[in-house]
Amino acid sequence: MSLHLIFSATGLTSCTRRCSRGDKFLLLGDGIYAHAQALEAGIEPVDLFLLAPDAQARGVGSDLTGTLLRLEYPDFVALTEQCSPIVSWKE
Amino acid sequence: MKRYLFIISRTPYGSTHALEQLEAAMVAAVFDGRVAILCRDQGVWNLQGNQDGAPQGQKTVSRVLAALPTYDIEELYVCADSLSSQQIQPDASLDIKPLTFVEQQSLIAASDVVITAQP
Amino acid sequence: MNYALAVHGAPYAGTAADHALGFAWALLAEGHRIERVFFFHDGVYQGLAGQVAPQEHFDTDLLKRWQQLARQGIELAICIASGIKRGVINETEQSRYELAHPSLAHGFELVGLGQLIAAINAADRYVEFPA
Repeated sequence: MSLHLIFSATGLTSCTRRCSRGDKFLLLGDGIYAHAQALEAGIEPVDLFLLAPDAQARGVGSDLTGTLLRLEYPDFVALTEQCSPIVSWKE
Repeated sequence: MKRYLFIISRTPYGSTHALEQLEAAMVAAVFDGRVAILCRDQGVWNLQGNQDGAPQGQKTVSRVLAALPTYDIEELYVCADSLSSQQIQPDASLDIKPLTFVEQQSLIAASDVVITAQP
Repeated sequence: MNYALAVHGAPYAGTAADHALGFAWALLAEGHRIERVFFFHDGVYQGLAGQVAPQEHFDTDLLKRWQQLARQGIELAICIASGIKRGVINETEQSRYELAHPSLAHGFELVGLGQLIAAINAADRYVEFPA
């Protein structure tokens, strides 16, 4: 099970063509803005996470992101314990 | 022995990304890693034939690619979709295997370490 | 678990340092080990001495935060090839190339690419923070 770190909308597009069912996806940095695109791409909400401080900085509140889980850094760490490899996507 | 996948996503010469990925790949192989390289999107231009970095005072990237087997790096892959969407004339001396998206999914999932080094 | 981290972005130019530092401190708090933090491409600028944190980042003096991490015994390793071409040099390189001043900040060291691979080989996880 891989963990994909998504840093931008372009990164999300590149990733979703090459990921596997059951993988986990963490949106961080400007990847936060791609939350709707991520769901449209067919990622299950239960596999999709937002980095909380980045969402907060960008004013992307739960009214927009619904039930998507926000992670603080300790949760981010926990996710990396469960997944390998961890792949960063920005372009 | 770790399975490394180096992903090259940028053109040669316009940035040092491709060359630095290849250098890291060779070091990983020297350190007993099992190394695969995947060129995707603009990175497919690294496979273009007739490259000559000399007028720009730069290493010719396709020649570095051609030397990979001497480092026991035999797995040189290219995204088939990226290849077909650009007008590439691949260097004939390179042994490149095109991969579908499904095959790239498997390659990533099977790797221990994926280095994308996006600048 | 043991982690190898890579930072590819310059200070204040993007989110690489912020994410890497947040992640690194959380790793240590959870009892994990960090084999090495490796700085590559423009990430080498994180190790430049003489950075003055911009006023609008009043709470985020990145260099100080890296140096705090170094004081925990975490190795901050700047890729020597990426570093020297960007002017990030220690006293050895200063002497070798007959340059006026070293520029490497305290807490960092210049290392070869082999140190990135050695760190990844020794670690259980590799996490990359792009520019």
